[in-house]
Amino acid sequence: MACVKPNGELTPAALEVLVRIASSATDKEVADAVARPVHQARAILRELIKADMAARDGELYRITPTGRARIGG
Amino acid sequence: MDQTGCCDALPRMPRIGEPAPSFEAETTQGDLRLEDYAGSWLVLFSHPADFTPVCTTEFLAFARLYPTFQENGCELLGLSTDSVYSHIAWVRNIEAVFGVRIAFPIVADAGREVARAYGMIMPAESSTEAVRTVFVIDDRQIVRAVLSYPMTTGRNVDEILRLVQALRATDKHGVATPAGWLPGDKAIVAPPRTQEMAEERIKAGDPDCRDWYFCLRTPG
Repeated sequence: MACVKPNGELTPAALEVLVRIASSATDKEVADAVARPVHQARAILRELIKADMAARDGELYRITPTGRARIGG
Repeated sequence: MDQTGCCDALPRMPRIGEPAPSFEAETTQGDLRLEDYAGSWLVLFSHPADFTPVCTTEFLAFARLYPTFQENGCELLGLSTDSVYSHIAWVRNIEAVFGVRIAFPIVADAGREVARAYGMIMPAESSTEAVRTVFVIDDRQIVRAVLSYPMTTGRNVDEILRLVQALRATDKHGVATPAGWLPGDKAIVAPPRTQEMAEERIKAGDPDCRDWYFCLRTPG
């Protein structure tokens, strides 16, 4: 996955997104917060969901316990 | 096998007004789907091959205008049938040689799935590489314009930007745009549909109406 490095670490962009959804947010709010286009935010969120670090409830994305453990929160 | 030596029937190119074909593809910025661009305009453009001079000039031109495309609510997405490693090497080379960063993603369509879905392979030109196509896709993911250029001729990226700006002005203000229209220019008002409306226009004596069917106004 593009936001997870071969050694299992997250890319800086993925970490920024994960931190932003520690309090839930829409894809547009995430994109604004990390100063990236919405399509990039959506792609990263999709990969974080695949990695079980994020979850989606309707329009909102939120961090999962796995994701929270990754950012040490 | 057909006369071009290409074994598979190729889908036709999507037409103006049709939904853009969905895809999920590996790019220089990770896996992207067409749906990731919903709500934004998108210029999806193909080029024949990385590390070729005409394509390099086009990428320099697209990179120069990328911030302006974004200011106009439009993203750029390049595509060729090269691998993602080739794309990465090429954009790094462009940055090293020309000092220009390619900030938009490029699809690595080695399996040609996206190129086939969009009719970018034109066997009489090349059975393996995509020709220079441009699809302007709107925020509802409808194809709004299609351009095709041969391998030998680089595109005019200013014209592609102008095309996006003209389409957006049409959507926003309900006008058509005359030849060479640029933002700030007057646009064309829809002609009247009845004789009575045509006569009303003539009587109104609007200096921007050259005749009953030809009236201009500033959008907005």
